[in-house]
Amino acid sequence: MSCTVFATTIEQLEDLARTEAIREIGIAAGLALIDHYAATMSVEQLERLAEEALTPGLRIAAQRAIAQSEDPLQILVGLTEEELLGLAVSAETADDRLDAARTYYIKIRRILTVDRLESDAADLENRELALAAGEALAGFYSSVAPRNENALIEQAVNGATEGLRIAASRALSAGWIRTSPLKQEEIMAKIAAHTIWHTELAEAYMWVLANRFSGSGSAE
Amino acid sequence: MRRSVALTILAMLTGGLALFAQGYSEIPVGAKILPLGVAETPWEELRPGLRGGTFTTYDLGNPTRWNPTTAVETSTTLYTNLIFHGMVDLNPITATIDPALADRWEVSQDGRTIVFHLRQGLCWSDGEPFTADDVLFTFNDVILNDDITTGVRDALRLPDGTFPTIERLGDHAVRVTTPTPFRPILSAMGQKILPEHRLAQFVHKRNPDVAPGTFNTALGLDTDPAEIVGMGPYVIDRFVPDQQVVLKRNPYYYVYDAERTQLPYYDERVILIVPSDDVALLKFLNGEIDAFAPQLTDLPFLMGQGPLRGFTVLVDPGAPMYGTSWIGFNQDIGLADGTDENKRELYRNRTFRQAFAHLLDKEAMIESVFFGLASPQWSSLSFGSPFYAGRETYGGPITERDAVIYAYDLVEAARLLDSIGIIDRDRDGWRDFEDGSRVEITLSTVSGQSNAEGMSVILVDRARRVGLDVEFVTGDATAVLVSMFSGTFDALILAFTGGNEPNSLTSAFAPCGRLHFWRRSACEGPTDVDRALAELFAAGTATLDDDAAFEIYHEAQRQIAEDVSLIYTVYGAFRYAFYDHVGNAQMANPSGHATGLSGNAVDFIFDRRLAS
Repeated sequence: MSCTVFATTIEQLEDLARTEAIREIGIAAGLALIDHYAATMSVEQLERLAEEALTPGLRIAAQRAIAQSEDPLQILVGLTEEELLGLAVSAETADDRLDAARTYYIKIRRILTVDRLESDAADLENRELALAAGEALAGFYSSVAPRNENALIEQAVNGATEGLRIAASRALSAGWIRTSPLKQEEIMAKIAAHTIWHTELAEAYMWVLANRFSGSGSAE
Repeated sequence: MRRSVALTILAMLTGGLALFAQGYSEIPVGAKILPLGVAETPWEELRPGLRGGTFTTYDLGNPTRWNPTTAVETSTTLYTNLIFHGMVDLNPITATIDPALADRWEVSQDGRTIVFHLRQGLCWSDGEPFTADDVLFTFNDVILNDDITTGVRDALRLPDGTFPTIERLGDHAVRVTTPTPFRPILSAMGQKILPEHRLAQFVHKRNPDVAPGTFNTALGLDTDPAEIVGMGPYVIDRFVPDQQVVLKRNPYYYVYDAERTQLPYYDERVILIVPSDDVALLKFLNGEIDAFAPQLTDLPFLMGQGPLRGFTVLVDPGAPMYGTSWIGFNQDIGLADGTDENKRELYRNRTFRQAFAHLLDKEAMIESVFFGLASPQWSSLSFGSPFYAGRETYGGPITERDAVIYAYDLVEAARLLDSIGIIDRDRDGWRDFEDGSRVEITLSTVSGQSNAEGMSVILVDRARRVGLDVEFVTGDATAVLVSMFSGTFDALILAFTGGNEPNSLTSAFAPCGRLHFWRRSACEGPTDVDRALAELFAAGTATLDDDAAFEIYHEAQRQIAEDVSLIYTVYGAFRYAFYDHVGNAQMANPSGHATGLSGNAVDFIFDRRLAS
């Protein structure tokens, strides 16, 4: 287990984030760049990068690095649950709706249940609420309400809604990060194999790859 | 020209002073070496780290002062514990007493005298030498000075109401004498030592120019950080109310790792002051906070995110948090007004209490109330204490070999109830007293205590299965505590906080103890168990041999468990979350490590990213 060194250099990660044709691999590299960008770039530089970068990997790296210094959720947390729910449904942009939805579930995290989250994640009318519910549901699948890997793969691929698929995909990521013996190149191959037809599985491996890039993965 | 020379000399002098203020030129002779990673030491699981970086945690309130002697609330002691050290400290791994500013001590054969040998060559954070005069000043001029308002004094109060005598034996030795042997005096010597050269001016006894009590306001929040001088790992750099406290390393800290690197590893420690747990969690998820203390109910939400965001949620059901959760019956119910004789007799009957203990389905409680993240309790002492009776030896491994267990067993519970004549006499499905009246128990707790509420729901169901009518009610904290202390309750399900020192059990289990709430009449008429425990507690404090004390308290815990005056339930697991870039992080819990430290075991955590 590697504990202290980056598995890949910053230059290699930037190269991947800038040029990699497979979206999930580029984003994985971008996710591994967030801390470095937050520590070395000004907000202005990051905003410019977030706006002008041509690839999702670099844009995500810049956007998340900005978020580390200006977390919009911390403003939202002062709102009531009802206000957050309202924003999650009716805020103007999808990003704002998702922020409100995520904050809503954080606020009510202590009374959440699997049944409640599965119901919310299956909601077809409020996409961002369903996505945020799916993200929260992944935590339950990874801890107190575990699902086996086959069941999660089935749900990630064939789940009835995006929220349910995200829940399974994130839970798979969490499990694979802890236990998968796959090396970087093997994970990249998995992503390449799934990126067209099984996006959620490709994204599950994307998080594992980002974790390996950051040097805390179990197989490096 | 002469002015220029003078300026040059001044520059040389100040430059020299500045250089001096950077710390020791070589490791002081009395330095404490922490054998991180050294095999066959308690520290072997940890690893030597690298110096540098900032460790950021949080607190929910502002500090009120920087004075360790007058500090009361944890939002203040969080900082004073980082700035000041005592002669002894708790080992964060074994929870036993470790040398700190004293590197060793000798106990006289009669157990009444302890000579502490102080480390030599140490300096305060301002570069002034540390000597026995600082220790004498702290105890004799401040803590034991009636002019000064401090709760610390109580820790030194002996059973006969007197205080120990503390004398100077030389520049680096002090003698502590008590009229009779009193083992807890050793941990009481962990009180934070104050710098005489800085603070004597605020003590009327030492400086008659100031009014008595002046010290009570010394080291207030408006004190220049440069004036706050300590022996701990950090000193105050700046404080911005409602925002943050920034501490920087003490260049004269006396603790080094096995590779002779001076600790602490982190250059800076930042405590963000946040308005709520929600904000703290958000800041943690956003990477602004390095470690977070989750509630049990936060865990499902957090555990799935850890791997994706690069943090670990550490949950160890085998190392529950400090404290005990219990059910207690009012054995004096109706005594004052001559009512409830049936109930009083029942609650005083040990067989009844044992039957009730068999109704506790702890496995179901752990699974459904605590998500499986809790442990069953049986002892009156917290798991973390080195005197916990589930351990093999003092500070040794927990094996529960001698645990007194009342297993969940409805058949046995029913049998025991039958044996004392608590049976269903009118065939309505509920058990009755001999006079035919139904046994009705009202179990209370403070509203909002979700764990107690969840456990009670299960208990009520299991009691019903054997025909015992238990009603569960909640009330506001004041009402419940008033009923507890006034003896008007029926049965309670509540919890005590816990610590390492088993003598603290006397407050609950000595018959006149403040927390002996279930049978106040025992103060006038102690039971056989009360008398036996009193003897054990007296013997436990009278020996300074920890191994001998362990055996004594082991027996006390066993007797308490068999008497079931309090029926112990289950307690939540030790848990916290930390980013994977924090090395040795298993010891950095900001809310209190399993061994009871309050987030102060920060000397040896480090930023793993520095290695890259």
